[in-house]
Amino acid sequence: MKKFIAIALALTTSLSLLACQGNGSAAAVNDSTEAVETKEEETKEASEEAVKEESQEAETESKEETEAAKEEGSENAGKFIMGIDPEYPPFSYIGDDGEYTGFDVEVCKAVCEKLGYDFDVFEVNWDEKLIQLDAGECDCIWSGMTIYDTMKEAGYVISEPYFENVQVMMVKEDSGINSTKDLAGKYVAVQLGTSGAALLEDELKDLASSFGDLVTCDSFLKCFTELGGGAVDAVFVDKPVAVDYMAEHEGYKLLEEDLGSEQYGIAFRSDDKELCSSIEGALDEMVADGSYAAIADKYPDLVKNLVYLNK
Amino acid sequence: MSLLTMIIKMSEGLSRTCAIFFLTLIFSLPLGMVVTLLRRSKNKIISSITRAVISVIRGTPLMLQLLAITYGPYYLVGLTVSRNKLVPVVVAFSINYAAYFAEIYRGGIDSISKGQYEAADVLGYTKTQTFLRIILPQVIKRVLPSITNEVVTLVKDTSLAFTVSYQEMFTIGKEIANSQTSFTPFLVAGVFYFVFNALVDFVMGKIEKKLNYYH
Repeated sequence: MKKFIAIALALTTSLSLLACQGNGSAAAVNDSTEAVETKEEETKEASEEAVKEESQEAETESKEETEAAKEEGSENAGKFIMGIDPEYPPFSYIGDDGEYTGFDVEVCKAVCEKLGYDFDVFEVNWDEKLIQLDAGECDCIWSGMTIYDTMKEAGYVISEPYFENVQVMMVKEDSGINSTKDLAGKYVAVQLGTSGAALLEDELKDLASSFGDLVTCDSFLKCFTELGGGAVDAVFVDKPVAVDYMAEHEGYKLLEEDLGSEQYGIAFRSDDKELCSSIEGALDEMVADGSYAAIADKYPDLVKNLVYLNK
Repeated sequence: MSLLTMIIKMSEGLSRTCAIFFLTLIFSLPLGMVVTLLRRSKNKIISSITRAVISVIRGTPLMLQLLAITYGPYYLVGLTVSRNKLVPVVVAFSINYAAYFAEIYRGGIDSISKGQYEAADVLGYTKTQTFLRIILPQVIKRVLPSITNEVVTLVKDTSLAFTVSYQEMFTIGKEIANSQTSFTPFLVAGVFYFVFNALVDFVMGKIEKKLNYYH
């Protein structure tokens, strides 16, 4: 009987401690000062040092969060979080110095400077990018993103297109594949969540069904590795990405067939119409004062397809 | 896309998920025992090498091991990447799980008291006989709950095969979620995993009960 009571006591104590910790995290999430205060009173009762520390942490966290919220509220000085695919050169990638760079990143940085935003980057998971945008993890998706009607239908605010893109098949030079007809029975890789994947599912369905297998990778670099390693015979990819890769790696070629063109744009949440137009305005200004062209000059392969420079 | 088509499409991937699951168990359960025996070897060199290998495998993410085994040979020595991704996936999973199973077995073997070895010796059992007939049956009974734990984790870990483009159930779910801009496939995947694990639980429970012959 004594044993039973001891166990019961131990259980209740540990459970009540657990409950305190639960409150702590709830306070941090709710971000309300009241909750934090109640929490502090509770910890006094519990007189557990570890728990106290936690409550202090929760307090500072919630303070930071309120400040961040304030910043977001004001239009001029605030944080602007750019959502990118970090493995998408030359639009967005990790540069030699370890910082994010690329055409889109540089343009966005310049826009933020112009509008007085604090520039920040968030790496999205490309096949869940819109969910992450909705969740507020970033303020836009700006990373060589193809515009789809379904995005507009779903209510997202999409900027004016800034880039004309072409989809190409990239193969090994010595593969003997010279047209899409030669791809019958071959293995083709595509990145999940890209326009290429969507094209093969829809408009190019017949072509896709002639493949031996369609391999879905989670990044283009993996697609290229599969191609280099001989696991696939071709990669269906956006032309600028392929050209960028081929500049550094020898032995590849593109099939000279137009398999579908599309436009890149920037996606915002449905209630960010003003944000979108202010960024479009900043882009127009940058085109007018030549700073846009200055950035574009660093990416000579892109210039021909940049909508803003070819109006 | 209707919910039914979604479920049918994802079920097709389920066979590949099952392939990873069963093949990994078939290879890693015995391999784990071999690793344990090496780890418990009287030879200091063998036991410390095994120990180091186990700590590397347990200390690095399975996702990294998958990438290393699939693409490593290509990057290091220019070997071709396997077209059938099931091979590198099962190799990586088996090695990883063998390391965990090895440590579980070791715990089980160490928990048997020294007196049993002495008694077996007195009765004239050889070392091999002692291990196979007296120690091992008890070890299996003792480690079963921990093994179940790992097996349940394995079911969920199969989704990691996506990193090397192996189209198992979760990958197909992701593809559908993406093309339909819908969250439903993830819920379907959740239900699939839960049912799979409920089955695992049921079967392991049965085995445990069957081996519980002394109580």
